[in-house]
Amino acid sequence: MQTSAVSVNIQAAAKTYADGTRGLLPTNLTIEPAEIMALLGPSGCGKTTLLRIIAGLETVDKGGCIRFDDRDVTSLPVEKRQVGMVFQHYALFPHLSVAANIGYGLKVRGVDQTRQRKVVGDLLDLVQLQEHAHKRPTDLSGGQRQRVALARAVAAEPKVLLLDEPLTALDAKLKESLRDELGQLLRRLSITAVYVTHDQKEAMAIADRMAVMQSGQIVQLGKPEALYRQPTHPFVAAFLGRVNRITRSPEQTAQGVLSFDTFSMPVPVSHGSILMVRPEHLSIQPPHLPGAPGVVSTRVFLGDKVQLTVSLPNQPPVLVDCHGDVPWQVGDSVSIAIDPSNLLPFGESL
Amino acid sequence: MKSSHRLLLLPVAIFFMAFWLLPVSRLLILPAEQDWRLYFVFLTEARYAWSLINTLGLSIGVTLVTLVLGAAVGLYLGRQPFPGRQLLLSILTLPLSFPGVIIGFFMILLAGRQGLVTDITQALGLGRFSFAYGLAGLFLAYLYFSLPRAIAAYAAAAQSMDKSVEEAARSLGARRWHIIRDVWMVQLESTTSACAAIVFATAMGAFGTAFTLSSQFEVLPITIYSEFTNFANFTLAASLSITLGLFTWFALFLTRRKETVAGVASQ
Amino acid sequence: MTRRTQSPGLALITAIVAIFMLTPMVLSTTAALVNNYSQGLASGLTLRWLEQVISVYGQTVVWSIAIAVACVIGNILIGVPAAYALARNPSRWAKTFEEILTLPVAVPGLATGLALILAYGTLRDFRQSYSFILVGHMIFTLPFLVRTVTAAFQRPDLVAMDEAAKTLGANFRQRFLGILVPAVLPAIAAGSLMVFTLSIGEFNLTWMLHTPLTRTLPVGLADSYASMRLEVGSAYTLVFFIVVLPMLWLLQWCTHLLEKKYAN
Repeated sequence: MQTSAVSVNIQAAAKTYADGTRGLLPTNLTIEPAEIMALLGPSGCGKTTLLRIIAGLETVDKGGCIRFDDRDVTSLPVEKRQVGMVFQHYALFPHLSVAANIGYGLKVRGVDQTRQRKVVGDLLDLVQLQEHAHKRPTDLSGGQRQRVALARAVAAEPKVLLLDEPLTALDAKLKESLRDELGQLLRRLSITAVYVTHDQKEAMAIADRMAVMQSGQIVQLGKPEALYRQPTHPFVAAFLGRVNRITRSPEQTAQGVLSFDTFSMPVPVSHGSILMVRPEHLSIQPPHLPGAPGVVSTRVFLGDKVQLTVSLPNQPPVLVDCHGDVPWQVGDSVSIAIDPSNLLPFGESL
Repeated sequence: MKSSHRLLLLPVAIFFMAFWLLPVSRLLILPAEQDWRLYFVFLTEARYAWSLINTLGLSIGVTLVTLVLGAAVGLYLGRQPFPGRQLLLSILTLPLSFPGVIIGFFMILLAGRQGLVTDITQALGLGRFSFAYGLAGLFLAYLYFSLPRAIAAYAAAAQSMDKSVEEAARSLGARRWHIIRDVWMVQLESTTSACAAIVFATAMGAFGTAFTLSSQFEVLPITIYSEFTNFANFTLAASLSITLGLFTWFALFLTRRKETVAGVASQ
Repeated sequence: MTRRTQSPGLALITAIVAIFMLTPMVLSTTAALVNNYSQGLASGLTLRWLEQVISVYGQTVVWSIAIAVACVIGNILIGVPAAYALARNPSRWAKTFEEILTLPVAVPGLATGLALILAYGTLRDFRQSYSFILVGHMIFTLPFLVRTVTAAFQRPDLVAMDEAAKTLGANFRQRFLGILVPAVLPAIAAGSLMVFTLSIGEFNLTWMLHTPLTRTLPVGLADSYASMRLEVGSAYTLVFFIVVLPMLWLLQWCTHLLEKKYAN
């Protein structure tokens, strides 16, 4: 891909549907050239709406503005925007061969046959589908169809590549291996890409930056690791990975401590009365060591790790992740150690 | 609607306007040009009232019998494959492509003056019993062209019936009658109403069959036709056609309403 | 293994119905080929009734097929674009339009025939041509094609393909002819088959619209049943079977092939 990557600038983009529902609240977003930006959130959060607005498949409400580099594309129809899109169910043309599918964007633009053949050939090599060039999409597996869809989208050198939950239609094992392949491929192409998904593992693995969305707006934007370690909103904390909720009484908050019957530890007042902590940040240890006293109520063996549910005094049970060799069984008394620096500070924003 | 889409609808719209909408509108107001009471001639004149009642009664009767028989045969053929099933199904749905006149002729061959059944009854010593030209013959003829539609619809529905619902019911202990009532009839409801609608509408408007049989049992389409050809009474023919059309459309409307209600209720 | 849920009752009903449907077909075929129906097979086999039919009514067969083919082509040309427009605009307006298109099916063919004669009876050339009949057939069969193809255009995977083609830069003409129409080809074929079948067998409307010089096959049949002997009527019926049925089976087979080829 020769063309240099473009930036995407979205200002005050909103979408209200004919029946009055607001699919997207006014949103601002800037995507850097060659960046892979993930839009992550549950269904109905507006991520697909935003993607389709960038594509031009939905018209944005008045006042919204979409720019590719310096060019205002808001009023351009989708056919003229030069975006490439990979659809959730691939939308391959069933009556055309794999090669013809990939070359379609070039064909409609009147690119000459020799150049078409070259580009299609290069892409078939890139996605490793050379032997399948003359087959029909119906003869291919899900993973192969996904690669054809990707090749077709990039063949005409689009300015922006848009992916709408491209791995959702695949089964779990395939998803994981394709996820890594897809990420590598996107980086090789060094094209600006927007990737919509509801799967946080996918987003964290592939994206350079991600925007977590809820109810039509972006809740937090940043690098995946930053969002995971320092979520600024409980929704983000709960959506990326799992969190435990620990409540403390107003007296404890005022005193700046967290108490479990006999055990007490200092936790700043500013953390508020509802605390969140991830399962992997709770250490489980023999009951005589200092920590919150608890009893193991369930044990789930997951192969590489063990997930224990521990009931604590006056709290809902907490999930604790340990690696597979720990000896704890259901009914054991244990002690939970919490490093205060691992507590997610949301204060009263809950 | 985008202007390009409007353009796509234009040929159909023009064609339909020119060759149906406008001519039929003209037909609709024809009786009014003479006397608006002519619209109700199906109530005021005994002959026309009887013709309408005959037609309604025949159509309703044919529809009911067709649904029962068609469901029986369609389900039998649709549920389990056996050798020759496809062939039997093709033969039974063949008459879908026959014009009504052929079916009238078939009845004549079966039970007309030289008919097979007539010969059989004579051989059995019951005298020559030819019933093709009365109500019985007409009824059987209507049945002949209605059954294929029902059989085809029910066979298709039977093939696509969700077996897992039935299996779930059986695993919960439901017996045959429960299965029929709670699983089959529910799944076949939309097929039944669609089938009833089309059989009824076809029977109401059927002309060729009764025409060929020169039936003693007068149905409305024949009445309309004779008003037009024998008496050149365009206006009367128009009025009766409107009546026939309204009754047919109303019946179709009812079944569609029922479909929508059922559809909403099943959400 | 599934237990046999067949009841002997259903089997019996099926058998009776099958006999009821088959017997007349056998009878008419026999009557067409014997010298004298009242004497049955004893009077010997002959082809003279068939010959008589072909010489008197041969033209009606050709014209019926021609009209049916023209009907299919005409309806495809005006109906497929309309089906696309209706599929892309699911407003109440569009639904009403589709409902109105279906009216000629609910209204008895006689009424449509009357209306056409009323409106165009005075245009002698038109009135006395086969185009008059063709127009009636097209009106009556159009909704079947439009309904089937509209439903096909509304399938979600077709919407996605349309959008995909848009993102790749295709304009409307390229999308419509290159992507959408091929994708709905099975539906067009199925709809066309319905149109062809209905047109070939159409009588109610055609009987009103025909003239002695513009007769179709069903019209000829009615004529022969009324005015000719039983054997001739049977022979004409046999001609219908021989000519029309294989044609329908061929079309059905083509539709089936297309469905398999374009199955998604």
